[in-house]
Amino acid sequence: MAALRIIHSLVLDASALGAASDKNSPLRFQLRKAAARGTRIYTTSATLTEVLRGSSRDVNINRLLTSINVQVIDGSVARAAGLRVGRTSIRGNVTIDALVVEVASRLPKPVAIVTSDFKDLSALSDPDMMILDLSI
Amino acid sequence: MTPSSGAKKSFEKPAVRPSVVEEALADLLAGPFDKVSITIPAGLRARVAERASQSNFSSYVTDILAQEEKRIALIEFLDQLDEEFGPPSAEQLATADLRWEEMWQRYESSTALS
Repeated sequence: MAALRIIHSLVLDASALGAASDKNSPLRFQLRKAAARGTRIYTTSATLTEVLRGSSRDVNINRLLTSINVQVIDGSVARAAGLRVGRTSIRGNVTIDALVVEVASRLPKPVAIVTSDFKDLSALSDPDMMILDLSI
Repeated sequence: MTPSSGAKKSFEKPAVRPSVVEEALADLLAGPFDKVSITIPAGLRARVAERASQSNFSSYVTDILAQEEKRIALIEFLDQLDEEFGPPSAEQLATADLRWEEMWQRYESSTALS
C-alpha cells in the first residue's frame, strides 16, 4: 500500500505557477487533490515579479493567484534569505529561489516546494523541507 | 516625458485588463472589517478556545474562513480549466499520480543520502 503523502503547506515557485494552469501538466491534477485534502497553497510576492509580464499568459496565473496565499517578502525574510545563500556554495543568481525557500521555512510543516529547479532549491532548503521536482 | 523608442508595446496597451490584475491581487484579509455574530456549538467553541484566546478568536476564525474560501476558489478555477481543456483522462490522472509518487521518492532518496 502506498504511503500517505500528506503535506500542510505547498509552495509554488515560478515554474510551478506556470505549470499549474498548463493543459497537460500533472501538477494541475495534483492541485485538485491537494485542495481536497485541505493543503494550503502558497507562493511569494517575489515570485509574481518572476512570472507576470503583462501578457495573455498572465490571465490564468492571475486567476490562480486569487485562490492561493501570496506571502509578502519583508525585511526579515529578505535578510534570512541572503544568509541562506551565503551558507551554500551555489554560484549564479538564486535570489528568488532563496526567498521562496525562506518563506517556505516559516510555514506550517510538513511543507513542500514544487519547482523545476530541484538542484538549487535542494541546496538552499532545510532538511525537513520537501523539494518536489516538477521537471521529471 | 515621452516613452523611449525602445519601449515595449505592451506597456502602452497591456494585454491583461487592470481589473483582472487588481482582482487577482485583492487580499481577502484587507479591511474594512465587519463585526458579525455567529452561533456555534459550545463544545466547539471551548475546543477552539484552547487554540485561540478570546482576543484572537476573530483572527483565528477569519484565517479559517479565508483559507476555505481560497480552497473553494481553487477548485472552481480547476473546474474552469477542465471546461476549457476538457476533463482529465484516466491516463492523465494516472500519470499525475505516478509523477507525484516519483517526486516523493526522489525527495525520500535525497534525504536518505543526506
